Parts: sequence; C-alpha cells; structure tokens
Amino acid sequence: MIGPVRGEWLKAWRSPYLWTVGLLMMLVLLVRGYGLDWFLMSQSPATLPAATIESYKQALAPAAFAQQALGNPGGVTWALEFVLGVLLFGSEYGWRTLAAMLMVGPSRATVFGAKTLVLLAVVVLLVLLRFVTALASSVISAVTLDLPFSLPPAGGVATAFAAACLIAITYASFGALLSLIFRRASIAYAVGLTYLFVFEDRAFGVIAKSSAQSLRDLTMGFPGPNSVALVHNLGGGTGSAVAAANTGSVQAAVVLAVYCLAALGIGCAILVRRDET
Amino acid sequence: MHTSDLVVETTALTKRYRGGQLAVDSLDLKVRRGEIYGLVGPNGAGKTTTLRMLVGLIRPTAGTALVAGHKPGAPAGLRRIGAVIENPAFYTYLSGRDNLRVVAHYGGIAETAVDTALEEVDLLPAAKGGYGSYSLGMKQRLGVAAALIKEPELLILDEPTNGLDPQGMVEMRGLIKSLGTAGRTVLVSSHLLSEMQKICDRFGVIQNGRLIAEDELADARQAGLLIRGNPAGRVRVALERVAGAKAIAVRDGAFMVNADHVQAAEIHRALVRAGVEITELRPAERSLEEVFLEITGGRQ
Repeated sequence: MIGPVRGEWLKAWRSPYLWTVGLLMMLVLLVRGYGLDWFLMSQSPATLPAATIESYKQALAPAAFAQQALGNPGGVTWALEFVLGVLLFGSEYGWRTLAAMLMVGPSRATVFGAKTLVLLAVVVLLVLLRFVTALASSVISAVTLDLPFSLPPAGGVATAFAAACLIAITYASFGALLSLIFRRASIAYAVGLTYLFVFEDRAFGVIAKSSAQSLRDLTMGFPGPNSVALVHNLGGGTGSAVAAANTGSVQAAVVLAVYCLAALGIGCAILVRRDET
Repeated sequence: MHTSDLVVETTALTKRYRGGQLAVDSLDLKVRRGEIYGLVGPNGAGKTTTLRMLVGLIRPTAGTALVAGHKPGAPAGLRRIGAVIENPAFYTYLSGRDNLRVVAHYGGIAETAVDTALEEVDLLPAAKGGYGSYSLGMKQRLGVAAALIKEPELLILDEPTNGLDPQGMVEMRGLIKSLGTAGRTVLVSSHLLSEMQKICDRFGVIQNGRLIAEDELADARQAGLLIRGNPAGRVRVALERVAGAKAIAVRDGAFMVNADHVQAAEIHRALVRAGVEITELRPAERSLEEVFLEITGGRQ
C-alpha cells in the first residue's frame, strides 16, 4: 500500500489543479468570512447599526476563528470539496490513466485504498489550512480594528476542526463516487453541482423555512442539512440553519459518516468489479 | 509443448459485451517464451479486447487464460508483465521522469530504475520535459519505458506504431526488436501487416474475434523460387524442361517457379547447362498482406 500511496501523493502534490482548488477555498474564506465584513467595519462604521457592528466584531475576532473556518464558507466550499473528489478520481478517466495504473501491479482494492487515503490527506490538510488562514485573518482583524484578542478553548477548536473534516470528506467522497459511477469528470461535475446548488442549497433551504414538517424531516436524511446542523450546533453560521436546529451534532455526524462510508464502499466495489475499457 | 514454455495460454477465451457484441470468440492463443508474437488483424477484429483480458482490465465472459503463470489481473502476474494498451496514458502536468516515478511507486520498484528505463528508450535527455509537450513518438517510447521499468518477462504492446511518422515507425520497430532479445517475450498487436512482418517471429491472424491462422502462415508465405537470368527465352525453355510449363509465371520481369527450395540446386544446374547467365535465384515469399487477404478472403 505504501508504494501506491507515494505515487498518488506525488501526483497530488504536483497537480496544479489541486493547488488551484485549494487557493479558491482560501479565497472564499478570506472574502466571505473576513474581507467583506472587515471592509465595511474599516471604511464606514458610522453608517452601520450598532447591532450589526457588534455582530461583525464578534465574527472577526480571534475568539470566533474556528466557527468562521467551519461555517462561513458554506456551500461554495463544500462544492469545492466535491470538486477535489472528482479531480482525484474522475480525472483519471479523462486522461485514461486509471487503466495504466491498474496494469502496473497492485490489486484494484489497493489502488482504491491509496487514492482514498491521499484524498483524505489532501482534504484534511486543506481544512487545516483553512483554520490557519482564519486564525491569521482574525489576528489581523483584531490588530487593525482594535478587537479583543482572546482565543477560543482548544477543545472547541478541535471539535470544529473534526466537524469540518467530516463535512469535507463527505463531499469529497461524493465527488469520488460520482466519478467512478459515470467514468467521466465532466458528467460527475454536472450531476454533483446540480444536486448541491439546486437541491441542497435552494430546494432544501426553502423546505427548511416551510411548515411542512414531514418534508423537513425527509431532508434531514441528506448530507447538506446535516452539515448545516453540525455547523449550526458548533456556532458556525449559515443561512438555512433553521431546519437543522432540532438535529443534534452527534446525529448529524453519524449521518455524514454513514454517507462517507457508503460512498467509499460503493466506489471501491465499482472499481474492483467493473471492466475498465 | 510443455506448459512452462508458454508465457501466454488461452483456452476458449470469449468476451461478449453487454450489448451482445461478441468481441472475442473462443480464442486459443499460445505465445512461447522468448519469441516476438504478432497478433494481426483488421480494426475491430478483437485484438485490443484480447490484450485487455490478458492484463485483467476486462473479464472474460467464458474461457480461461494464464499469463506469466497467473490468472489475468493477479498482482503477482502483473508484476511480471509490462503493457501498453492502445495509446500510452500519462499525467500531462508531470514530466516524463515524474510519470515514471509514479509507475515505480505503484510497482514497488526502486526509483533508480526510472533513469535506466528512460535510457533504454532514448528519452533520458527529455526526462525533465513535461509529458504534455512530448511528440507522439516520445509518448509511445515513454509508454514502453513504463512497461520496461518492471523488467518484465512479457511485454504486451498494442498497436505500438499507430500514428507514428515513418521515422518514428523505424525507431519503434528497432526498439521492439531489441526488446525481444535476452529471453524476453513480446506480444504485439497491429493492423499494419507490413510492420509486423519486419518485427515478429510468429503471427496469429485474428478476425471477428477468432484466431483464423497461426503457425501455417510461414508455409503460406512461401511462394516457390524467384529467378532472373539472360537471355530470358533460354531461361524459360530451361525452366519448362525442369519444372513444367504450368509451374512457371512471370512477375515484374522475374520468373516465379512453383518449386520447393530443395529443387533450387537442380534448377540452377539446368540453367547453367542451358548457358543462362543467372542474375538472381532465391526463395520467393509473399507479403503478409497477400497471405492475410487470401486467408480472410479479402474482407480486411
């Protein structure tokens, strides 16, 4: 297993596409999590209501950096995490390199395992980078806007980090699974992003605000609302958190973990059993 | 023949795709250790499907195969096989050397083997260049290098000269012939019969998924004796006396005599006795294309 993992890591480390997605993640965090609020606070504080200024201060302060890293990027970052999964698995079909790797020697299960381990490592590293970026941004905000400089408890940061990793792995696994099903990165992007933006972001958001309890319960079987619930329960803020208010962190985490395991299990079975033409 | 002399042995190997298309039909293929074996056939004959089954990329619908002593796709067998199926496929953003490093990692091979393989295919000077900037010939050679890095006992090459310019074809031909030395077995497929004729020790002709001719090709290619001499009239008279008029034909100014090689000495003596100045006397062979068209009934 070590050899294939090293091979996969070499490919991932040298991939300009993964670096681009990683940079986009940080850009989303900087702009949506800090940049816009910092700009308003620094440029026109007199025109803002006192309550708004207070909420901005709380969000930009170092005490909230873990929540910012966990929750503020929201759906766009989850979509980018989905893209990571497609990049690491689906691109192999476009380049027709998967068949070449399968002919080298390791079993198909080993190839899948190596790719999955590297995908998990990339995802966790990018989440870590997101937390470091959020911490640095919050420190800069505190210095420039004269905010209180207190860090959150380590336990809270660790929980938020674990939750962010679980959510990221869920979406990356989803991307990997769609790539293996369709054997095309392009169609995996089309199906996955349509699901994320049309159903999870819009339809489930509307249902969350509706009074149809049965529909709201139904949506809680999907990854999006459970991710929102996890973020909401850990103090992160997203727009449609209302639907998730009654879902506990443990329940949400279990649902996401089941999705991860199912996606990876089905993906492995597909790769091991299917003809590669 | 002892089974251990065979590097590839298939029995009634069959592949029927989901749509019902029968791509390979009860194929019995035997490739001997140390030979360069050519799998010849028109496009769509089932060559690539056969090779894909041999390396375990696709599973046969029926039949069995043993490749390098193992079932197709078994890791122990794959470690002894180097294969390039269809066009070589590598990562465009990596250099040639890094692509081979990935292969080396996957195969559990020391990275020192990378440069050795690059040198063997004459790609060492371009090792740092991005794969995306390689010419088709360089890509083909990198594919061969990736296959060689495992020091395989069996090399499987699918249409290795496809798309190459004449210079690239000559280089690839020389490379394959050199790879077939030192006990290494090469199984190469192509629809370019003239290319295969220059490379291979033995051929198998595949059509509609079936092996329709194999060892008998060597006999089929023999076309008697070719004789040139002066004066031509006296040559004809002498040949008619020895072989009979019906055994003689004229092609491109040469006499083609339907005679066995062992009759060459007798014919030579007859021509000398007739006072003919002999300029050429040799066994004549038909091209592989001619034989192939005859066997397949011209349905290429």
